[in-house]
Amino acid sequence: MHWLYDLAHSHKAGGKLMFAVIMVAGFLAVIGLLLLLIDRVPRRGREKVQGFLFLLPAIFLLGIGLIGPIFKTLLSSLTSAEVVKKLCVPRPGHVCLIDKGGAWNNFAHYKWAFTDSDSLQALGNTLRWVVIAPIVATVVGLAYAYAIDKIRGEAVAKALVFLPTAISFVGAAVIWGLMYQQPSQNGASGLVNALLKTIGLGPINFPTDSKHVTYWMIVVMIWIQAGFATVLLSAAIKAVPAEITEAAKIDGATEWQAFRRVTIPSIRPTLIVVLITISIATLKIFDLVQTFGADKYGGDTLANKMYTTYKQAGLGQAAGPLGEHRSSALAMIIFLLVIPFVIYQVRQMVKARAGT
Amino acid sequence: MTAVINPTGAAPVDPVGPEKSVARVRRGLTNPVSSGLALVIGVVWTIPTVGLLVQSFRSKSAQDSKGWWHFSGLTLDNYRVVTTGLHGDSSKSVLPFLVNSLAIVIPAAVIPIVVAALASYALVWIDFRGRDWIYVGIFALQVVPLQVAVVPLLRFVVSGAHLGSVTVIPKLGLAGTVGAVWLAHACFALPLAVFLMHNFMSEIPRDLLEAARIDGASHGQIFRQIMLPLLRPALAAFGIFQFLWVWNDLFVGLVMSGGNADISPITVKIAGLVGSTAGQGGEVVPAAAFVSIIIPVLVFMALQRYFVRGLLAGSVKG
Repeated sequence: MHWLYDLAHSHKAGGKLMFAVIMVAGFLAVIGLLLLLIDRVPRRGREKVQGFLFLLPAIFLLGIGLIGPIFKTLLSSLTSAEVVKKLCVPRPGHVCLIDKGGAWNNFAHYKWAFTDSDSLQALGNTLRWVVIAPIVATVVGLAYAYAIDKIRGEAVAKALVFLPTAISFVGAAVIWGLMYQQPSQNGASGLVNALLKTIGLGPINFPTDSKHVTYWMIVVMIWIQAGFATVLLSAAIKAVPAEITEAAKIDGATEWQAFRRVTIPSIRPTLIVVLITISIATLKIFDLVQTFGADKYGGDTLANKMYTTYKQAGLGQAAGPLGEHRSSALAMIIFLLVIPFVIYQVRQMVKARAGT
Repeated sequence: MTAVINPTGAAPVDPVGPEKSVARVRRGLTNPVSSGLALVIGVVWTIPTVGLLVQSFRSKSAQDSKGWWHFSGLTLDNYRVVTTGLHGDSSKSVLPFLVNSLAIVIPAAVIPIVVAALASYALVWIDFRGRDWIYVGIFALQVVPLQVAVVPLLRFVVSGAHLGSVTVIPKLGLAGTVGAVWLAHACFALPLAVFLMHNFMSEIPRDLLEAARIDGASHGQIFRQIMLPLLRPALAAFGIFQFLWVWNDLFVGLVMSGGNADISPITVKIAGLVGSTAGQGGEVVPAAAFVSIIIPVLVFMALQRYFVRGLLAGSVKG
């Protein structure tokens, strides 16, 4: 298997792609064997065993990728980290280990997360994100979906706003870094500052504006997510029978009243789906903060703080993998914040399944 | 990109009948306010991307002296730097990272699709106790944020799974390869994939399957010869979802690659370029970013139909 190892660790484009193709082929071969095996299950208790075999690959991947890690992270967030004496070189008769770690430590990492000023700031910023971004993105998406619902070229209009959905957060951060660029010595400036100048304001140095950098990033998030909201809400608006809104108008309702009293209640389920989906994405916001480097200017979020804390493993106040345990606590806090949204989604799904 | 799971599981409805749409067009032409609003939002949403495209074609001195809307100093040099390299210096080339992204995205899309199709087949068509609970459980696993899962998964890739001193699963030899990255994506995508496949599979008429059973077909044969061909639209919908998600991801790529340039996806390179060129050399960042953006955008535009169908599966109910 040396050739496979070499391929896997290849520095060349061809080698890497070949490795990917071989892995996919190997995977499909394993699945093929599994299907053959399924057909050879003895008759007794056949359906049950076959069902289990069909589920086996999913159980394996979910086990190593999601279920196992939940317990590991939970455990790591509740136990002490290994602590080693600083600048200690291990040699016979000398113990560098102060605490070998793994002991229950009475929520010390959570206490840290809720008292350390940096992580409190990250928590506060994350809450700001979640309160603002989903609502504004949904409102913009709704307004746009409603506005273009009646015009010619609706498909093009929708595509324009939907396009950022295909752009990575990293790409979006570069795009908006350019929009937000501060005036240089030679006179170049981003579009936003150029526009501010024409109305006699600014310049604002957006990415390092320590009071507001979170809000400037939320603008980018709204730019990305509004298209998603538009597409879902537009489909929902079209599903509202035109007769109902027409009837309301014949009865003397204004356009706004018809929208407020007829359209909105009819699309309420979709509105909630959109809000929840964007909220979950916002709670985990990482890429924008990382690419903007906003954590240096007071714009940190929980997910980014979790990553930087993890990366500092071993470099904290005490030597040892303290960072990893603390980052586990931060990850669990994100987990707790997401749970209510997903409970709602699961309840909706169970309800829908019971209904059909 | 957001992974979207719509909880209400119903099929998308065909929204507009022909006679209604005529009424809509007539009504719309008489409403200047909404046309104006649509125009403003459409323009504001497009300008930032256009700005990046224009800027990527401008020389360093032009970028320094004037905003992109002056269209001055157009050149291809930035694209040379980020592809083949200029003056023998290819340190800013993003092509190797494009290859990495490709090597990650292929297995990361194929594996969860197939695994989820298998699992959904059992959950929809094979009768055994507790299958509904298993389905709800898998659906609920989307609650797990990547932040919770990714570090333990990295440990697993590096050293396998152990209970005390007993090795439960040996290490798979994927450490230091792109396998570490796509394995993570394949695992994390499963709840969404199972949900989508389950939805599509539930809509296949039961008679079809029962007829095949009466003719003596086994579950393995039915899956291969009847289900897989019928699932093509679902495979396309999930495939484009997963492609965009994996291609655009930074977090998983950053953690699972551990900064190893041989296996880092392109987003990691772009984010790194943004940081490392803050003082000097930033003129190539727009070109590099555009190279990374153009592939998912083209895929997205070509397959938008399937993507929207996947998004709408279940979200629009009445």
